[in-house]
Amino acid sequence: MLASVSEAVDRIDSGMALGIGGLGTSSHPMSLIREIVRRGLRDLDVVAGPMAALDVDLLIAAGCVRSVTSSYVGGERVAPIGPAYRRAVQAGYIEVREVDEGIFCQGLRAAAQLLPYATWRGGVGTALVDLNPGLTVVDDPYGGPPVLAVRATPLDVTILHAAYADPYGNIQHVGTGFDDRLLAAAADVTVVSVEQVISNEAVRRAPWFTTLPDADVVVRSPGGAHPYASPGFYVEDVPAIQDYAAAARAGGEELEGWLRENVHECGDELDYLDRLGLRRFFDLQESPL
Amino acid sequence: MTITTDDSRRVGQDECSYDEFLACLVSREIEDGGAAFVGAALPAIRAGTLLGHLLHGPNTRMLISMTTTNLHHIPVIDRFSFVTDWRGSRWAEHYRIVEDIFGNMRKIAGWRGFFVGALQVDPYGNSNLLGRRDEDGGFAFRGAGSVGTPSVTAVAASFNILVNRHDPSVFVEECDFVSAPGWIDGTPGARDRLGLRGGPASCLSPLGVFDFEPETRRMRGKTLHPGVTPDHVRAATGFDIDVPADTPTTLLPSELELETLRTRIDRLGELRKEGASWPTST
Repeated sequence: MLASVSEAVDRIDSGMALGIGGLGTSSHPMSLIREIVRRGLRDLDVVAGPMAALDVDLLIAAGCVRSVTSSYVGGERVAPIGPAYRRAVQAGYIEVREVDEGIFCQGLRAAAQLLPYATWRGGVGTALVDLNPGLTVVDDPYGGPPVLAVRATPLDVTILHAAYADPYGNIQHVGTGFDDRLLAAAADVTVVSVEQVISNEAVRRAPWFTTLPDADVVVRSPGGAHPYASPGFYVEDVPAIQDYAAAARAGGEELEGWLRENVHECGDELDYLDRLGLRRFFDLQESPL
Repeated sequence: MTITTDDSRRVGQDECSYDEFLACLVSREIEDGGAAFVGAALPAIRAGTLLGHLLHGPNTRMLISMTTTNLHHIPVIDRFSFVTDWRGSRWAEHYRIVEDIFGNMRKIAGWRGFFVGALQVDPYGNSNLLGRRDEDGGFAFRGAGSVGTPSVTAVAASFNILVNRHDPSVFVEECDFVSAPGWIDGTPGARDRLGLRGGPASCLSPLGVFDFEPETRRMRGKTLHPGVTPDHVRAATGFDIDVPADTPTTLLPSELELETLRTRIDRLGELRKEGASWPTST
């Protein structure tokens, strides 16, 4: 049940459908993502967000991705459109299974309910239907206007980052938990990295804080969402996100250099945090305005 | 709670930035009651939605930083850089979970004053956030994605379109890709036939505010921003657009709007730093 980052990523193989949690600039399982890049996994069908950040952009930049299912890939004000994402889509290197946030949820919901598809209102009359083979418009058998049929997006593994977990897979988020529960419900295996592992007694003291009761693998990974925020622990490291965005925009040797320095040359996650430095990491915990 | 009456003086164009003006326009679309989504990506929309809440939407629920709350009594609503910035949770009355938001479209069906960004918009208010097409049907330019706009605009009571450039490559006869359908082809019942509710109410551009003629559903001039002429709009629009010679001028911010904006929402003057100059022509 408890595993290291490396042992957890043993559960993921090239070619799998991989769910990735967090939303916008918060709560992405970056320590697991960095390990995926280190391993050089390939041809992942990434289902992320529904609003992914540059976490998915990094996987694309490192050549790990075959397709992306997400309503957005970018870093908002830092990089409105993910630089590697944009380049890869424009060059035709990766497939985008075009969805919006509601459609994304319906695909996961169908998978969670073991249905072939789920119906949805939004998306009818849009180009999303032409761009995503998993979307089609069908008649309402009860005589109403047509509806969108969203093909189920079952996941082999979902990776998430949360605040706390006990060794039995009881997960506790601080804040909303975004779309993490649904990403877990659609997956065969759920791997969750957490800031702190807490005792089962602590969970039993206030069980209503448990947001997911059945993670398969728990990874103790303090700082594991860096450079993204981890609610209750630290805010976004904006300069670090900017560094990545600049390297991804430049591509070529600059991107290779960034990957070497921030991923490949870090033997493990503690090495990554060592390089980041205590001062910088602790400063992010002050949540300055 | 009561709604503030605003009979203060209108400021001059030289007294506010374009983004402040835009925020005031957005604020006037916010109605009292219901809920309003506060995005973060577009600062003027964020600021305008909050301004509408403070000035005339005291009972409107603010959907901000993945929370639900009321901020009417908060002296200064600090700016956050990102949609999911959890520092906003200090004000939360409720945490919003993504699958619950989209599991509750019946509530979203009541939304008005929701703003959709666009890379392109056509005469019927069909808009595109996906990108531009190349000759082979692929992407010559990949946009960031449609976020939640197809789902929200399919059911909301109405929505508005915001474009940050007004030229013939943005106001096009036909979008390369449609991500948020508007009035489709303008024929009566076109949205109903696809099961879509509501429809676009207006389109805001750097040149003016546009709405849709009730019969034809074609975009037309409603108000023009100070200094903008009908000829100017026609030249900058890639389709035939009706802009009568007597189209009124868009109302500039009032002193109350501007003061509330500057002291309670944009304390650090971000809307004055970014886009400080008024876009006049293309």
